Amino acid sequence: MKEILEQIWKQFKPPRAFSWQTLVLVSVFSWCVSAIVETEALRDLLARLGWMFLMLGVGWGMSSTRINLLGLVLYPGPWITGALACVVLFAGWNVDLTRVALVSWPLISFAVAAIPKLFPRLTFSLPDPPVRQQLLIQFLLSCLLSAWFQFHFVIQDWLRAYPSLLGDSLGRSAFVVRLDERGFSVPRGVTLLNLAEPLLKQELQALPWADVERWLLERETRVAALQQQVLQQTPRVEEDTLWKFWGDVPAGLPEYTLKLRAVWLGPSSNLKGYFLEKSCLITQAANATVINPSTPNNGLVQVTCQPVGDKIWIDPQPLVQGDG
Amino acid sequence: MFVSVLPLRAIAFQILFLLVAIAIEAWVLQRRLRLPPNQSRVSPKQAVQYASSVNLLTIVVGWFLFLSLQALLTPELKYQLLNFVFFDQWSPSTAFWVVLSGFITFFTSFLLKLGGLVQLQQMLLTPQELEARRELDKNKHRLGVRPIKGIRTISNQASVLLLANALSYTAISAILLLRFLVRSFLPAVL
Repeated sequence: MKEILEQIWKQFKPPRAFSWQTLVLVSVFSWCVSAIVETEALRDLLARLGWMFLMLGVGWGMSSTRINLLGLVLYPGPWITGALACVVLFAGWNVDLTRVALVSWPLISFAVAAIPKLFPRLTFSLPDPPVRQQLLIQFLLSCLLSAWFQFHFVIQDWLRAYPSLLGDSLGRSAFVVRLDERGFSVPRGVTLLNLAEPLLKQELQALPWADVERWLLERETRVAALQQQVLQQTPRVEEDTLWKFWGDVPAGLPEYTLKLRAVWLGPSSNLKGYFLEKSCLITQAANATVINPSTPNNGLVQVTCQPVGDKIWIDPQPLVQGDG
Repeated sequence: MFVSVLPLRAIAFQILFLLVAIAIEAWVLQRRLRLPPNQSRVSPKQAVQYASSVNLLTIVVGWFLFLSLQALLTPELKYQLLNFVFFDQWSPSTAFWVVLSGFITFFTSFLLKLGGLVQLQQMLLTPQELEARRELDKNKHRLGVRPIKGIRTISNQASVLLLANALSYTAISAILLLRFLVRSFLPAVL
């Protein structure tokens, strides 16, 4: 047992008092202390200090590490040090700073790589022209990497504002790839139509039959009003203005079949877009006969709806009325 | 939730276009560019470094403009942009804007590259060269000689860069056209 411990100590013993191994050990030590300390603020500070010592230790230790990749020599040190610096700077705050951390990671790594060249003896000195050229290219490359990260987050924002885009195939895109091509999510129109169903039932079943027929005649305005009610029930998303509700009562189907449609007017893999459809059968309850249409007769109108079907692509012809 | 959608194709295309542009422009610079003060040619390594610097500069400036301007788009333009980014589609009305912005990009990037190249040469002077150049300028002023040579080098650099830019844009457009043709006639390939 003692031998093993000695062996481990020999392995980890810093060669000199001031070396990168010492800094790593100091970081482990400050984490241990922070685990014991009770005070919240002190614990946080010690953990952060631990990350900082780890950063300095690793940065020092890896400063001469190089990877030879098919003749291309890479120095991974600044990247790892930069990542640890991002942890020190951006982790553990009340707000989520992942985005800021990822976007600034390449720039911080560049700074880590450039500082030893710009401040060789802790004072600024202009490096030789070849080094200047190299630093400039490195700086522009890290700006480019950071722009790519930023572009990724812009795309995330777009998808958050237009979630229905994820219900479509992105296979044609020249910009993005989708890693889980199988996992299509449903377009938001499905949610909207499902929310509309109880509202529609509630509205129609409270009406006498004659008013139901008038409702169906005036369906254009009524359905638009229905959509407004639906939108009030759900948190607003930017894409909501691109959904248009549309009601259709095709001839030839059992009277009355209301085809409630949500038409997507936004970007889609088919230039004309698509619509989603929920068909609702509106009938008079069998045991009732209309004696006096002016009195409210609850329960006489029955509305039964089917689940929302698959996307229906709109062909080059515009949406036609009464396709039954 | 959305992490599964990554801009990897954009990155791959950007790397491809960047390599094509650097290769072509470095070749043109190496053959045609004359550097002051004594009209010396650039070495192949220098040409690659110059071409990389100016191309990376234009790309970074372009990204900066795009990322800051995309937040200001009107809803209508934003749909068009999303349609283009996610579904690779544009309507005839956007095609006009695409062609127009292509022209604007070409000339803006040319000016940016020219400015970048001039600044780059200034930046890479050794202290002795900088001193010598200052002396030269001072003498010229004293003798009342107009800095014709300076203008000539600028115009040499401008015409070389214009040629380089035109060639690299042509190559990139050819790649895009090829992709479009493959897309249209062999939809199953990609």
